[in-house]
This record gives sequence, C-alpha cells and structure tokens, in this order.
Amino acid sequence: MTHIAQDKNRKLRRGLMSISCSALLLPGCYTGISAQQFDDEHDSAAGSASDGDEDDAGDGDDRDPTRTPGLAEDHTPTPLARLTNDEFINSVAVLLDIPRDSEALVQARGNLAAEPNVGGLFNDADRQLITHVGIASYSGVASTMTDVFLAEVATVEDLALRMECPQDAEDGLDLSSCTRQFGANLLSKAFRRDATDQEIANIEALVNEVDDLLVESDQDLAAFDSHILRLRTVVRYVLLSADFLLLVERGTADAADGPRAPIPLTSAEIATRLSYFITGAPPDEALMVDVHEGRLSDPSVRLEHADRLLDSEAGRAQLTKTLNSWLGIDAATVDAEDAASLSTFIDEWFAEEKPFEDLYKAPVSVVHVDETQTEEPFGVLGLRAFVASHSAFPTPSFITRGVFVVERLLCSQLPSDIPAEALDGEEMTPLEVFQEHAKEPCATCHVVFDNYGAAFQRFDTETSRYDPEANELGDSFDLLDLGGVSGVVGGVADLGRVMGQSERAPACLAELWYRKAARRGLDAGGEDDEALDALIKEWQGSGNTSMKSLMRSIVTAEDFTLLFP
Amino acid sequence: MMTFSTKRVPIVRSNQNRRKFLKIASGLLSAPFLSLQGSQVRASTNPPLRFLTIMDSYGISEVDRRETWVSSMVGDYELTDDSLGTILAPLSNYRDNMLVVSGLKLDSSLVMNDAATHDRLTAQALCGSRTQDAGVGSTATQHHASLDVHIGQYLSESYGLAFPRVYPHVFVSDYSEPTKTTFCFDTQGNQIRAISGVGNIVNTLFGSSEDAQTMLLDTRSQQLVLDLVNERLQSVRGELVNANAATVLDAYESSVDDLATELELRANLQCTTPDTTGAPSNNQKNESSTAYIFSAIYEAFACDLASSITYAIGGETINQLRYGFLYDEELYNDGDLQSLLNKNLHAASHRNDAAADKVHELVRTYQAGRIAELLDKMSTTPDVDGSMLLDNTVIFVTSAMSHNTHKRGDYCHLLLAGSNTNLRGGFHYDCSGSTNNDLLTTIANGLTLPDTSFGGYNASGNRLDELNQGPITKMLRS
Repeated sequence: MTHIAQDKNRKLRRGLMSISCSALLLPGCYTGISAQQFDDEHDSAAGSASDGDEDDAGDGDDRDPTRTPGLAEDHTPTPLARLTNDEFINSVAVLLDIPRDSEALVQARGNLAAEPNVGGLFNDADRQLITHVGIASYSGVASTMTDVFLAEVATVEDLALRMECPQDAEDGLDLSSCTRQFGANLLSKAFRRDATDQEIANIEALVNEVDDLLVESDQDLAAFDSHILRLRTVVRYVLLSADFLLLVERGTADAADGPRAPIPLTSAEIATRLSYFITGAPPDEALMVDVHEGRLSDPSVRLEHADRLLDSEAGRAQLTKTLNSWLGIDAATVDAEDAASLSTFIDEWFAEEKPFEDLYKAPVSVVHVDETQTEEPFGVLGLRAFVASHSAFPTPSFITRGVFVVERLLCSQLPSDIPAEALDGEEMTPLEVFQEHAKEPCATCHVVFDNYGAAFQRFDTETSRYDPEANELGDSFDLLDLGGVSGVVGGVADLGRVMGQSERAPACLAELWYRKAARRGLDAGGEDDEALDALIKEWQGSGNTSMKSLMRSIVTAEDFTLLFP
Repeated sequence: MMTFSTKRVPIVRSNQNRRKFLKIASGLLSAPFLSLQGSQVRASTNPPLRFLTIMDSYGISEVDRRETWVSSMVGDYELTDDSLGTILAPLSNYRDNMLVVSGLKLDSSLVMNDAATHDRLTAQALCGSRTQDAGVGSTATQHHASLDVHIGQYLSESYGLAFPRVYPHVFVSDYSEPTKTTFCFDTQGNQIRAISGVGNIVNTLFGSSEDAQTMLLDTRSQQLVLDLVNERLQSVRGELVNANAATVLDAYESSVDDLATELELRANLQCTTPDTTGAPSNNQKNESSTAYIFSAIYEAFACDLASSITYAIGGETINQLRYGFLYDEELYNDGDLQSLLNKNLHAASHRNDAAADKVHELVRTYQAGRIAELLDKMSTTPDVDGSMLLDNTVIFVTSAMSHNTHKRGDYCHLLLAGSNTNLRGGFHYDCSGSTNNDLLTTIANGLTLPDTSFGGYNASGNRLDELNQGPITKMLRS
C-alpha cells in the first residue's frame, strides 16, 4: 500500500505529475529534466487523464447499481493499526476518568514517542510500528496516569472508593479481590469489548504474581502501598496490552463467504472503528448499548450514531484537530487568537453543513498591514493561522505556500527530489528568484507550484498581514491545470474560488477522510481508486457537499463494516 | 541540586528466562546481584568512552564572530585566552580540551528547500545526509542512524566495555514538541522522540522512586507485566488476518523485550534517584530547567547509564527557552523582537539584526557557563577505570543553524575532548576544503570508531562520494 503522494504512477485526474529535478543549472533554482522531457510526461499524464475520464464513464456504466458505493470487489487488505498518540491519550482519559484537558494528560501526550505524519494524518498503520522508545513511553505514561488516578487517594478507604469497590456487609472490604475486579472491568473498557474468561484469569494471575513478589521480597511494605503496587501493575498491563494499543479486528470469520472473502466485523469492532474515526476516542455508552444489541451492521443505526458523535464536543474537537493537521497549522508558533479564529471558522463550516466550496471562499476577517480589518472571500486560505504556518523565512513564501497548496490541498505530487536552493540564489530578492523560476529550465519544475504560491503575495511573509496593494510578483498568475484547478488568478480570492469549484479540491479532502477511515495509504491506481471515486460521486451527487455529508457517506458504506484479509 | 552516590555493580545482559531471573532477584533484594553476576564481568582495557551532543537551533551571527567566537577563523592555531570570544570565555579553564572548528563546507544537496519542515532541514546536522522526503508534512526518514546514535550503539555493543550501559543513546530536551519530529535518527533511520522536562528525564533515566528497594520492587512488577504482554502477543498472533499483522507484532514483541532488558540492566545499577525538589515542572523551559538537565546528564554519565546523550537545548526546532535575562528591558528596546522571543528563539535567529544577535550571544554565553559547570564536575569525578569522567568524554556542541539561515556552511562547531579520546584539543582548526561529513567521521574516530566516512546520501538515496574525504587527521591524536 502506498500513499497517494508517493505513487508516481497516479493518473493526472488525481493531479499527479511525476517529474525529476536534480541538477543545479541556474542561480536560485534546480532542474533536472529538459522541458521537452517534462512536456512528454505531462502530455502522457494528460492523455491518461483523458483516458481516465472515458474509463470513468465506462466504469459507471458497468458498475452494479445495487452495489454499495465504496465497496471495491477486490479490496486492499485491512491493516493492523495502532492507536495514534491522540487516540491513546483520549482512551487513557476515558479509562481512568481523567479530564482530557488536564495538564498531566497534555504533558503525557508530549512525551509519547514521535509518530509519523503522513500527509496530515498520524494513523497510517504501516508507518506506526511500535518501537522500544514507544513502549517505554507508554509505560511511562501508564505510571504517570496511575499517579494522577490516585492523586486524591491517601488511605485504603480512598482507594476503595476510587476503584468503586463493593463492600460486603459481612466480610468488610476486600481490596485484593476488588483490585482483581477493577482490573477485569478495566480490561473490557480498554479492549472495547467484553473481556474473555482467559483474559480475566490473566489479570488474576498477574495480581497473584505481584503478591508472590511481595512475599519473596521480604520487604515490609505497608498494606496500602501493596495495594497501590497491585493496582499500578494492573493498569500498566492493560495500557501495554495488544488489545488496547492495537485496534485488533478478528471479525466474525464464520460469516465470511470464503478464504479470501471479506469478513464481517463484530458489533464491537464496528463501534470501535466508528468512534475512533469520528471522535478519536473509544466507544461511548450509547454505542456499547447497540454493540450488545448487535445493531451496528445496520447503516441507519451507524448513521444515527455518526450524527450524534459528529455533533458532540469530542467529534468537533477531533474534526478541528484533523483539519489543523492537514492544513499544516503549527500550533507552537501560531498565536492563540489566530488559532481560535481558525477553529471557529472550521466549526461553523462543519456544524452548519456549509458546502465544500466555502472552505476556500467563505468570507473571513482579514487584518491589513495598517491594522484595519475587512471581510474578504478567502476562506481558510486567508486566515492568519494558515498563512503564518506557511511563511517560513528565508525560503521565498511563494514557494512554501505554493508547494503546500499543490501537494496537500490538491493532493498532487511534486518532484520528489527538489534539492535546496542554490547558494548563489540566497542573495536574490524574492522577485528575482520568481523571475528566474519563470524561465527554462527552472520553469520545468517551478511552473507546478510557484504561481499557486504567488497568489498569496499580498500576505506579508513576516507578519502575515494583508496588503491589498502588494504586487511585487505581478498582477496575475497563470495556474498550471491540476485536476480542473486552472486559469489566471489575481490573488487568494480567485485561487479559492477556482479550488472551491474544481473537482480536484473536494476529491483531495475526500481522500484525506478515506485514508483516515482506512488507516492506511491508498493503493493508487488500484482498488482504492474505484472505492474513492464511488465515495466522491455519492458525496458530490448527494446535493449536500458538506463535511458531515462526506463522513456520513464513509460510515454508512458497507466496507466500513468489513475486514479485508 | 541533585546529588547521589555512584556505586556501580558489574552485570552482564542476561539471557535467562525473565521469570526465573525474577525469582532469583526477588530473593536478593537486600544484597542484589553482586554474588550472582560478578564473576561474569568481561575484562576490558578500553577506557569507558562516552559522547555528549549539545544541539541548539540558533547559530552564531557571522557579523561579530571574532568577538563572540574565536579571534580568527583562518588557519590552525593554538588557542589562548585571548583567542576565545565572549561565548567561549566561560570555558577557558578547558581550553586544552577544546577543538574549535571553522570553514567546513555544507553541501546544499543535503539540505531541504522547505523551511516549513524544520525537522527535515536540521536532519543533516548529525547525519550528514538529506532526509528521504515523503511529502509535505510527512515524517522524514534517514538513510542511516545519526552520529550520536551510531556512536552510542558502538560504545555500548561493539566496544567491549567492562560494564554494559542501560542506554546506548538517550535524547533529552527542555521542551516537548508533540507535532514536531527530531534530528536524531535510530538505526532504522526513524526519528527519535526526545524525553522532555526535568521530571520526565529523571524518572525515565533513574526511576521514579527515591527508595531503592521500592523502586526495585516496582521494576520487578513491570517485568511481570511485560512477560504477560508478550504471552498475550503470542496468542493474538494466530487470530489475526491483517496484511501487516506479523510485522506489527514482531516489532511489538521486540520492543517489549528491549524494554525488559533495559529494566533489568537499570535495576542492577545502584544509582540513587536524583533529587528534583524545586525543579521546574515538565513544561517549563528556563535557566532552572537547563541547569537541572545538565545535572541529570552529569549524573547519568557518573552512574554510567548511557553511552551517548543528546541534549536539544531549549527544544528541537521551535525552541521556546524563557531565560529571565532575555526579558530585561534595558537589554534592548524592540517590541517585535520581544514578541518573537515569546514564540520562538529559533525564529529570532532569522532576523539577522544586531538586537537578535545580542540575544543569541547572551543565550549561548549562559549555556557555555552551564557546560563549564558540567566539565567542572566531570573533571573531578572518578570514572570506573580510575580516570576522571572528563578524560573519557567527547562533547560536541553544534547547531542546526550557521547564522541566520539553515543553508550556509561554516557552522560554529565546538568539541571538548578528554585525554583518553583520540581528539587533539587546544586548537582552532581551519577546515576549509573539508566537509561536515568529514567532521562527523573525525568525531567517530575520536571515539575510536573505525569509520572512514559518514553519511553523504542525497534525497534519492544516492551516496555522494565527494562529500566524504575521510577523517580530518590533524584533529586526531593518531
């Protein structure tokens, strides 16, 4: 499985251009292939695009009209995925009843092992391998979170209360037994299903081994401390267990049609997919009720839960977080006020089910260099949080911004080996660099993205303030056609309008969410194309091109409930 | 400040079944391990060398390097007090240990042209190679381990130390950047997350309990947990049909084994957990956090916990150091700079003006003072071979920045090398004509690694032979 941006055979209808730039020929730019070579590849890709369009029409005619959109006949296998760091922290918060915004959790999140960000997502299963550093960090967090869980516990009675121990009227409090029961309950919550008898027996055995350890150590540990050690051991085990750290899906193999046939997921597994997809957290009580009633194979039931979770605080927070990551927002450098403006924008766009195109052209408040403010139809492209996140000096901002728009927001592949700027070009002004890039052989590569970035020229590189009079790079810019995003643009308003009206930009967003649900890269040019095309067709054809509508389409698709071996 | 007694107990990696080991060990809690494993100590004549990398992200202004760094960047010469600039002056007592390196060439093909991804921009500093690009925002991988990890692995596994160390390599930082990645790469070329914050660093390296007996009991219980986790992994193996299940579970199991080994090794070292009373919280990054982290590094070396430690001083890329003296209104009258400092000390480097240069000079001078304090302690603490810790140590002070840009060559590198290492201190070395890769090779040689080259891969994975001319022999004793 490969991510869309890594697959050099992707068709141009997805906006792909595979070009190579590897030799320094002029100050301020690199290029490696001749213009003719690029033209040949471009033409070839364009030919594919044309062919692809025809193929698409053919596919549409051939497709079984009764088949559920999104269900490919020969699907890419489902990966075994690990919880992302956010999902891990959210799950720990639920398990141990710790507020999600507590300082301890925030700190713990920062001390988990680094995880790979693939095109704005952290859940690509093939890049999520557990490492020694990762296990050590989970273990550390388990200890820290146990401390937080026990923060108010000073006595045996406090501990019993924290573990919600039942008190037997005759025998009094049996903390050892209670710890075992607490562990068994914790297992079911952590594993997002009912724990098996064997798993509960394992917890029993683990506590017994701790007891043995205490006896053999001959250490005069107070009774309270002994209980704490038992509890800490149980929590550590649960948080390091495969069934917690991994999204284990066994499915109902008996229901499969054959050895290679898709395996229906259990209700608990569907609930887990649904919940982590929308909220980044384990299933809540309402979902678990339908798990036990076995109702989640019904798309209408999934839709009910999806709508409920999408409107929840956790769902909206997760959406904002995902979009922030996708948009490349640097939380550490963006001002809180700007970050809040972005969150508000996303929240309104999402909650009010505004059409997709509003993402790039809804009116937003823009601060000018003279401190005045105006409403401009820039969408997210004009928000300071976005602009400031893609303005890193000393690289000319038209490069930084152009690359980001083309690669991330339009899912188009850039040359894979663009080297650093030439040293000689460092002393050039941005205009001089821009002008050099417009000439061959620089233009061979830079034509892909420079003009996209130049559309942002009115946003100051250092302050990200707006200057409507700025035209250092020119008055208008001719965009290279990337999946329907094309034409001459004068600024961000034009760029946003073109992107909003294109097929490519919504398809790119759909791809993001498809990857998020699948927890893997896409098999570009393979089965995923068909499923993704079907998803986009249903979403765009539904008359509701909102973000919610896209997510509803994903969770109601049949393959959302299947494990592909 | 943290204090503890250094008592090392020789051990070897145990291949015993951990359950059996626990049974034995738990019966020996009052007198652990001495009689059990003392006879298995390997004889070694090698000094117990170690490596410390101190990496910042703000560089040194080119404008006044003769005042702030060394009096001349041209030619090789013996260092004197007069030749040390303001930044290096606090280290003058260790002039004979110093190797000040100027003039190295940084090949532009090793540097990313995407300032929005600083993690990839800085990757070349300790790797001498460019990251393999996986698209905007995607985590970059390297073609090989970074120098600090490479050296740590060698000194821990191949070098023949008498005392195995718990950590081949440790990466610590003042500040956690959850969405950022780092310039340290493991042997598979994956980026390594730093342990950040004083409390986290101390707890991770030394354990969380001040009571050795309780800590040992806690360690044993952790090992029980890891045993059960691995047992369950075996059960899960047969139940899953996912395409990547075997790969995921193999990595999982191997990681659990590694952690178990680490716990076992650490449990056998009698390091007293440093006292962090009064230390700043994990999310603070100020003078106090820097001082505590230097102390933790010293103590980790003194207890021989680690072969190689990397300290990203202030953070890896964002760098939000909050040194109080930077907020002195008499220092400068520049609201924009003040605002920038509140966000990112690294970003302030890019301003390339006198006020920002002054800020960075002050920061670096302060940090040089803390390094000098570390050297003071290391020069008076006996190592296991009877030398002083400093004699067996190489410290590499480097930066992700040259001056105001990532792309320039001629970084200001400083090495502090002990007498038992193979680096020849006391000199300024004009290394014009050599590359950063050559310096990395030289450092490896200085710690007795037999390398003839280091790094030199471009983004396509092709090795650029011209970047590796071999070690800079004039910097080596032999």
